[in-house]
Amino acid sequence: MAQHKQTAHDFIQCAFSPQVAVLTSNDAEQLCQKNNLSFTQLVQPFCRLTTEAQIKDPNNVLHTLQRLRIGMIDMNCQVSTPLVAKKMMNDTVTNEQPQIHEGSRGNVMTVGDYDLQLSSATPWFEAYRDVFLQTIPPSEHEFLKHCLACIFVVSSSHPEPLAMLHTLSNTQQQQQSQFPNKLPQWFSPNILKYYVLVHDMVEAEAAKAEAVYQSMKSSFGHQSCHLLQINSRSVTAVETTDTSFPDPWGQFLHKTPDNMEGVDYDGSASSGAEEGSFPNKVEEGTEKHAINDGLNGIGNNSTVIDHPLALSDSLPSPGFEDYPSLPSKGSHMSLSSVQSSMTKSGSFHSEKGRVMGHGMCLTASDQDRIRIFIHEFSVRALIPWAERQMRTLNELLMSRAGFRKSIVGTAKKWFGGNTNKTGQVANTATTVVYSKDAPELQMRRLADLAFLFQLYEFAYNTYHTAKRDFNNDHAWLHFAGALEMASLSTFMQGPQSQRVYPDHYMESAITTYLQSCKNEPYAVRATLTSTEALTSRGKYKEAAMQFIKMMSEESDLRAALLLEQAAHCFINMRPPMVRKYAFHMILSGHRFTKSGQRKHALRSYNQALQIYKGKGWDLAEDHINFTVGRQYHNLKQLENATAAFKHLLTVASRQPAPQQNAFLREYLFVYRQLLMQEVEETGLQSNTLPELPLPALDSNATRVLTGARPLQPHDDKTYATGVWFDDVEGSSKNWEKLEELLVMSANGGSLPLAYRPSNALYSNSTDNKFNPVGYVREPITIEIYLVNPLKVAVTLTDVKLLWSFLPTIASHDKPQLITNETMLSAKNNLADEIVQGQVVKEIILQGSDRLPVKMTLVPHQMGELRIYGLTYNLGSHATTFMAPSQGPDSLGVGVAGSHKASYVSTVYVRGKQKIEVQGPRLNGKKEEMAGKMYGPDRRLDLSVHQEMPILQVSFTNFPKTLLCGEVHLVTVTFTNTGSIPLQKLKLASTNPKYFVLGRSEDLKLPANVYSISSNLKDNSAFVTCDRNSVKHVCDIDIPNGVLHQASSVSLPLWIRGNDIGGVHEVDLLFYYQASQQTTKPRYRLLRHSVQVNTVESLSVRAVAQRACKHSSETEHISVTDFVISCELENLSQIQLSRSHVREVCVRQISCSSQRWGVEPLSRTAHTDTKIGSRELLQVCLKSMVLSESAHRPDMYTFTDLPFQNTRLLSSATPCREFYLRSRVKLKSFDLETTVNPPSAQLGPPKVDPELAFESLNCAINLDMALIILWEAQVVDSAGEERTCVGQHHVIVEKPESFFTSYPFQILPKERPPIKFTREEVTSEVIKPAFEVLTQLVSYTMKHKTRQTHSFQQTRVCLLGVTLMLQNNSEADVTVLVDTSRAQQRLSDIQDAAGQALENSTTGFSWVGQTQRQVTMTPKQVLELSLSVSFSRPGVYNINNLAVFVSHTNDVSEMTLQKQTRPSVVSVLDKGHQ
Amino acid sequence: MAGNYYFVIVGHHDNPIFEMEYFPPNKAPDTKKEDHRHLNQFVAHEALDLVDEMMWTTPNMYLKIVDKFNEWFVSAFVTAGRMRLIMLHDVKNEDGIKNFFQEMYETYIKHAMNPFYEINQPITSTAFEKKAQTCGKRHLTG
Repeated sequence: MAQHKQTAHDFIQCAFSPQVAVLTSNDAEQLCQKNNLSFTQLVQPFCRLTTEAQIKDPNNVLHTLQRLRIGMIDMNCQVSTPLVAKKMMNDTVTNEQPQIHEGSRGNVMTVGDYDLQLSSATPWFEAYRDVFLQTIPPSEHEFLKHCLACIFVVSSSHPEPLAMLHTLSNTQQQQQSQFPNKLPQWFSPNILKYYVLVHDMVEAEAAKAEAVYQSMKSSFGHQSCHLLQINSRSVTAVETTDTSFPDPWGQFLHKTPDNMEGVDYDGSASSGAEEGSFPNKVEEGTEKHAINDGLNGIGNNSTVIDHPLALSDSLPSPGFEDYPSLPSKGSHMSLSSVQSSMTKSGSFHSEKGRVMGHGMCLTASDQDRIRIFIHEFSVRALIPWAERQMRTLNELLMSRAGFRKSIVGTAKKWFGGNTNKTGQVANTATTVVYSKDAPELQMRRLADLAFLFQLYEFAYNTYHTAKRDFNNDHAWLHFAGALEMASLSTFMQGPQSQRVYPDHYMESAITTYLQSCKNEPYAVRATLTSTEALTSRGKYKEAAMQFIKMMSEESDLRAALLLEQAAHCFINMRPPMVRKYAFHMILSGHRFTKSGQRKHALRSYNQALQIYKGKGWDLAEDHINFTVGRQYHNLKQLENATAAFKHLLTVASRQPAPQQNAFLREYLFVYRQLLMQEVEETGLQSNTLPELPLPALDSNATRVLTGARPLQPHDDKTYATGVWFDDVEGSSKNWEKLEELLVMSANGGSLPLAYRPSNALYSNSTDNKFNPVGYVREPITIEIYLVNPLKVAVTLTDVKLLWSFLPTIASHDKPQLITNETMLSAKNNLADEIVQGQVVKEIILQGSDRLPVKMTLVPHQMGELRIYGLTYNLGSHATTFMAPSQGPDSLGVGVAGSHKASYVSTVYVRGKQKIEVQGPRLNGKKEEMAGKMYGPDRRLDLSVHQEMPILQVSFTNFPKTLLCGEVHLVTVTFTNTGSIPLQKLKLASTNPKYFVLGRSEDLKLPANVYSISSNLKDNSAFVTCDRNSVKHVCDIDIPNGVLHQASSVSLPLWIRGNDIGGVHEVDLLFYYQASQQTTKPRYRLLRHSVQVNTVESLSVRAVAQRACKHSSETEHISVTDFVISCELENLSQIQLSRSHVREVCVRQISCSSQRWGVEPLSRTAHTDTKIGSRELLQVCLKSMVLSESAHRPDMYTFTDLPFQNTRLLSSATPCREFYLRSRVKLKSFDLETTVNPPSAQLGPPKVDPELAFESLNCAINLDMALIILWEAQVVDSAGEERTCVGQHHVIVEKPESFFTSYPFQILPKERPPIKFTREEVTSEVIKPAFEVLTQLVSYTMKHKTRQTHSFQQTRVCLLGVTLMLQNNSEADVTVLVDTSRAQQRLSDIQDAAGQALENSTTGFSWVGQTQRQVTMTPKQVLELSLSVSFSRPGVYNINNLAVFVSHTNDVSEMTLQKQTRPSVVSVLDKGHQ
Repeated sequence: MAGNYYFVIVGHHDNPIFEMEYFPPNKAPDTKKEDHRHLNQFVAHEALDLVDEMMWTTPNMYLKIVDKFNEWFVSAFVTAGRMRLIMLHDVKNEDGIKNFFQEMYETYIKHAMNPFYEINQPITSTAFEKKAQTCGKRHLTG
């Protein structure tokens, strides 16, 4: 229970105070009206005795009366009917409002997790209680409210005061006797009569008054007469003097219905009191009054007029369904003007109140006189009368008591219908109706009187006795009343009483009232007093239970108030029951709503919300927020209403979709009203947009892209892909590397100091420590993810980005921050000139949708652009709401009137959402790891730089599919679409092997891929090829080095299909700079990423073998010739209805080498070289050494072997370049930029074995490349045939092994297991490869192949053999030719030195010197003469000698050379022939 | 025993961490019930005061019926960790509810042992939900 102004004791005393009726004559009343008060009102503030009084109880014991209060009622005042009473109660409750904005009133209470702001006082409840007790209909079972006395008042100005007094007295008498049921009721037939003469000090004569008074005293007795002198101040004096003394009437008056009108519940009365002079106000007031009246007429139908009268009949509050009628122009106008006039009329009321102040004519001494009058009346008249009365009653009862004690108990059984009781049976069979003078009632009367005069002990005993009687009689109403009063008397005795407070008495009293008597008002009264008693003793739980018990359906207002009190009881319990408090507040709020007490309902719900807020009781919270929102709306507190509704539209909403839809619409509707109201009030729109709750922004997913959207391909043109949002994030590493290469090449081989890779797309995963850079007149695109947390669709219209812009002006004063945040989207021209923003007309966001929205901004000035939000009209999707009667443009809310789309009819509001991006979580320092700290993220803070050239690259006829090795010509066009010339165009690529960029002249040639010559004679060309020219970065030739504005350059670009079939991705990065030097950043980049699918076509295998020259052949025999055999296989398969290669025709085989040329062996021109699917073609070629002149490091000779009539110039551009690219082993992409490989510093510099022995290695180094040029018939999926050309390369590095066109896949080497022990570093002696050592010297034998000899004549046939040795290497070598020990190791031979063993079975042997050692200079050809002897005829392979070679002088290092072809000699016997 | 049930586990800050409603198997929740779902929450929340009071009066975890509001009875079960399991029911079913509470308690403990679950956070596990569903079917509505 809330804390009350009165203590429980005071309250009960006031509730049950002696009642005195007042009957005034008209003239006396008029006298009082000078003070704007009736007589009863006049004396009311003084009705409590300030001093103690004495009273004797019937047993002659003296008691002290504390602060006796006397209730004065006007006898003529209208009896309040239940309906009027109800209205009164409603009004009082309405008028008592908490001071919501006064924070100090509420005290903060902390219970467990909850911090509650409570306002412990509930004045509306007290006010209600007082009115309730006043208006409770009297009942015959008690006498507490019966008037004990009647005061007759007459004024001294009356011509015949005495006669008047008699008349009045008679009136009273008459009423009491004739209309016993008319109110007020009288305590007993002989009530106390008291006569008062009121005297106006100013107007009437004092002497006359004194005379009349004297005669009164003589006729009525001096104890029951009083002369009251008032109005010592004249009315005229009042107008001039300031009445600053406190108004004691104020607190009593508002409780009387007559004064209702004067008080406005908005509580601005006090503020009006200090305002200006009187006449002005009256004029103004009447004027306002007229307006107000008029408005009431208009506003009646709109039902939102917040006037006390509108609430009075406790109709159910107007539902929300009425709203659609509101926004019509007329009613809207009236509404807001009513509102404004309402506030003014509030002050008007108070001014009227001030003018009609109370007690103006009463001076302080007048007030004292009234006080004296009351005291006189109480002490001299009333108390003695009461004493007498009690004594009489007591005696009466005592005399009966003896009789009763003996008789009644048994007599009752015998005389069922006792004469005293008319045993009438009322609605309940057990109810007994007593006659008026029944002793039981007398008992009760006595008890009541004692209670009224604070003789509580006596009263208790009497009540207790009466209770027993009533109980025996089954007179339940009387019984309940006696119980109630008995327990109250105990309570009123206070702590000095020996008895404990019998709350079970009260409990059963209430139950009896309720159940047996169906007398709810009395039950309520009992509850009110009982709970007061209980709470004053700290029994909050019981009090709460009693309150809740009274929560009937009959009166919502009462239920609401009682529930609220119950809630307060819960919170006052130890420990406080917060949750019960909250729940009962909700229930109370509900009942307040039903009874039309909007403010109270709102307050209750708000109280409860404190407890439910943020705990996760979503449905409950939604319910509260919804109700609160509605109440706020009803009370025209639109701002709060909006805030409350906003809470409903959260992410975690668990409401079903229709409910969400309703919430959304309500929110939009209220919000819109709020905005309109603001516009009307202020006349202009606020410059900051309100923040909307929907849709949610996934801020951190926001991506920012600088630069325009790449063009889409059309016809046969494709454009550089550039950067767009769908780029794969992972590939950025490659781009960064390429950029580094480009910058290095542009910067002379090193990176600038403050280099950092540029970026165009900023997202969550990029490093956003630095501001992105945009350029003037170039679009900036923002991608925002909108998330709809609701299950219903929302519509966003006129979506725009919000930005602020700080221009960089070179001049003096501080630049001004410009923003485009205004309510009006149309009148925003200035901002639009600086940054032109895209407006998205409509976005429909389905329920639970996540939608990316891309929007662009084009800045037109240099400066700093910060994108901070999104503005839009938020509307619900479906359009069931009525359209406002006027167009939205006339209201000026939100919409540019130019377009009338489908969504115009929906209710929407304009607002914004902020985009707040969060940087990455820091994890560097200790505090960063411990806490949650985030780095800066500047992706939305762009710096706009001056204009830059814009490169546009387009490709014509870029193929999607290629055959492996196919060469395709593409025209690439560079256009500068910017307004600044560009220069230093460069291109970097991840894989430069597969394209060749030509010069612009090349385009003029016929559109063939290869250049054709019909000259078949001169089939070799001598061309310089710089292998180093093939790099990741290449410069692009543009005429004059500068590409001007809007000019373009076209260049041929040949691309060759990768040798490996499959999908290949090639990234191209173009680099360019503005022609003028600009500030950072200096350069710009353009990306292009292509995917080319290659299909397998041809595979080539080649092997070179040393030519085996026979001695019989006539030509000059060279040991150095090679025979090259090629196998060409068509790998493609014919597939129906898919693109495939029908046949491949080999056009030409070319050879490129520094030393070698080729000649055809097996085929000549005009032979058929078509290879079908899966067919194999074999070609044999002979290689020959070119003349020495060609022998220069970067000079290559191209020899062409055409198979058709025309020769393709293999030394011309695309062919040569692709060949070159195939030769180049590019450093791995990553290694190219790493300046210092970390391994270089560790250990001694390693000698590359390849280089160390180059002179030796060249012995087997063939270094000959075959270029196979082919032509293929390709059938595409549509069945059309096309011819394409291509080339394959086979690089024959060394003889005797196979080489293919297919690149080797280098398998990753398996790493040895890691060892943790320290390994001995063995310094290895580097040796040349064994393969090299065995092939340093090649040798051939020259001899006759056929020898006829007569073995008859000579047993042995001798044949001279010339051994031709050729040093293949570039070094001096020592050669040891050993004929004796063929095919054996040198060491073995040495061991067996001197033991010449003749192997007789071989039939031949070398003769002469068995070992010869010679030294050979590089490339020297040496002839040695040997002779061989044959012992019998036959065919011999004489190639069984051993040739050992050493490249050093150390003989032990000699290596046996690889055996070459057999040398066959046929020895014939002459004799046999 | 057919009847409507509303089950909620309430965390230490009076926050619901798991909610579920059970209806008799034959009839689906009608739309009228939907509109009053917030009442369940109100009543369950209100009962917490009494649960907090009652749990000191008995050594048992199962507190039986602690409160009543209109047609709803409120039964409660307080775990050793002071998680409060509240059940609103419109029919009396003491044994069923007791068993249900016991089983849900065990399920909750298992869930709480998941190192990725923070105490007092709403339970979003579908497995837990399923378990609660079958548990309810077995002891309450089934």
